[in-house]
Amino acid sequence: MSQPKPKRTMEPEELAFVQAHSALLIKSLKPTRNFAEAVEDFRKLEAEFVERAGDNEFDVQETRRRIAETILDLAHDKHPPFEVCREAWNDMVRLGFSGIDVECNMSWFYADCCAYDELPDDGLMVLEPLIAKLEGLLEETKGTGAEYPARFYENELEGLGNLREVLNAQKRGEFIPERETRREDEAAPPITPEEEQADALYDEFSKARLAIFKTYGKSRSRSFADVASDYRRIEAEFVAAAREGYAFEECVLDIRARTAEAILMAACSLRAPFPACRDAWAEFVRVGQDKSWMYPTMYVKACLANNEPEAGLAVVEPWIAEIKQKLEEPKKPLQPVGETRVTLKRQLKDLHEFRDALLAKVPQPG
Amino acid sequence: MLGLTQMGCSSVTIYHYPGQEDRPHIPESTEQRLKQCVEELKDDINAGFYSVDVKVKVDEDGNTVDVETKGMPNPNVGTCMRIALQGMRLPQDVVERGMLRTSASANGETLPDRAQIGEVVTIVVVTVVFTEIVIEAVAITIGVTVTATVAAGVASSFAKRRKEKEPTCEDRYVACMDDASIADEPGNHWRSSLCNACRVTCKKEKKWPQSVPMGSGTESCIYKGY
Repeated sequence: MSQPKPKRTMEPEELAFVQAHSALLIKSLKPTRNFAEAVEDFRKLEAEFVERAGDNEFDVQETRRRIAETILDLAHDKHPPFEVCREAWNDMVRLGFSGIDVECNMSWFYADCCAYDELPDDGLMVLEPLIAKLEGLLEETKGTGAEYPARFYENELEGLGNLREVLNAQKRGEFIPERETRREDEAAPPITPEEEQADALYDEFSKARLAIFKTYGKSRSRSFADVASDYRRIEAEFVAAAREGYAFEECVLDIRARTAEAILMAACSLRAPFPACRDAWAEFVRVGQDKSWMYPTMYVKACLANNEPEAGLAVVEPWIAEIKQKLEEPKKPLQPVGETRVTLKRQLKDLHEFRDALLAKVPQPG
Repeated sequence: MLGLTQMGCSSVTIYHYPGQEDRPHIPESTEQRLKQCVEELKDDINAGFYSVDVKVKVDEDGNTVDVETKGMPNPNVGTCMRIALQGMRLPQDVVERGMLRTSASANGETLPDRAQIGEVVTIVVVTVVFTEIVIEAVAITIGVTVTATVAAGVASSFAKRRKEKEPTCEDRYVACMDDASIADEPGNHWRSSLCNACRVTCKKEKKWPQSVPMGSGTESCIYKGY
């Protein structure tokens, strides 16, 4: 992190690894693939690329590290017994971290595994020294005037600090409602047949929706009208297939939300005429569920590109107010997982830039 | 049924059912959204009286986490009303009043000491019944009764047992690696990709990030597909 790196492009062998790794990761993250199967796949990939690296020690070491990181990541995701997560962490420590960012991410995964199994001491043993290290690194940046890596350290200190508070609360025997734990997951009631059927219907809808995205995602060669019509067709098809009952009602809401999100994305990325973007945005506001910054950002950019500053300001102004309010709220003792204050401040800065750009396009009287 | 507290002047009217003055009202914005559902979809509703029973689960802050409905005139009205109710946030005083009433419940029973019972995770569960609202259009009358369960601990475990819906970090990652504008961008380290760095941060922050730390600054996680 401390060494500025110029932007680079991947070398062919590196790209081959990244592509093979990605294909395997996508396969492994599916709920149908268990942890042991995923590890076996990644060990094979490791063996293949270590062999291809030959005598290049750096290549060999970094390949082994990427695989170890992925195995810890999957352990965090798939919740095998805690000992497996600990082994993955120990393997990571043995190989060493490629940078402070990796050390922070992997420590967070492991400490979060500890919180899931309600083993606070194990997690704190890793977090405490890392937080002290980050505090020292942040101190060193003072007076340099450089935004990075100071912002990075602050962000990690906040995220890791929040997790430390969770572990400390567990240590005091407190119950934390929003935290997932193995104990709660195992005590949760089983999924009903109706819920299973609704999930299966949703999965099929997702596949159909992704297939439509793939028809234009890379090429951008289709018209918005055609893509939107495809999305509407599958929405109607799957809504019609939903039966009665609350699980299906919930599924229909999800289908409608995903369709609205997909159409808004298509409108913005395929440069649809502005009225189509505005309609897609209105539908997204009505039924969409995604709370990320992405969709509003896409729409505001479309407003800018189409010279529609008032429409953009109608989104940006309340958004700025919302973030300001979040930043003014006092920090809770147990902060829910989510964006850090550092991230919110950066978003606010971006939004002010958007607002300035939009205001510059507002016609002046006279 | 007589109209009290009539609201609005379109062909669709909405009022509170009389004789329930001791009950709280759902937020007016939610009432208006329910009314809009009938306004927009009244042509598809058969004439008659409908008694709609809505059960919502809310968290301790009053945010709706789940909605169940019975007796909807048709699926489209059901979908519209569920969307309206999903966005409902109960005023904090209503939630707190409900909590207070329960803690002073009959027989002077108090909550068990969690330290002695170990496995029990539910802290407080209270139910708030709201004043019934009646929405009338020509030849159509819809009575909506909303009951809210405020549950600490229960809400999260209820949601947890279902599969996580899109867009998850994995879904974003799949789309990221499928997008020509970003798929081949390197990550911060040898043999790592930018998309994967964004996915890892997404797991930590529960949202696809705007950017991730990279070298001496940050790299955008925005890809053209989004």
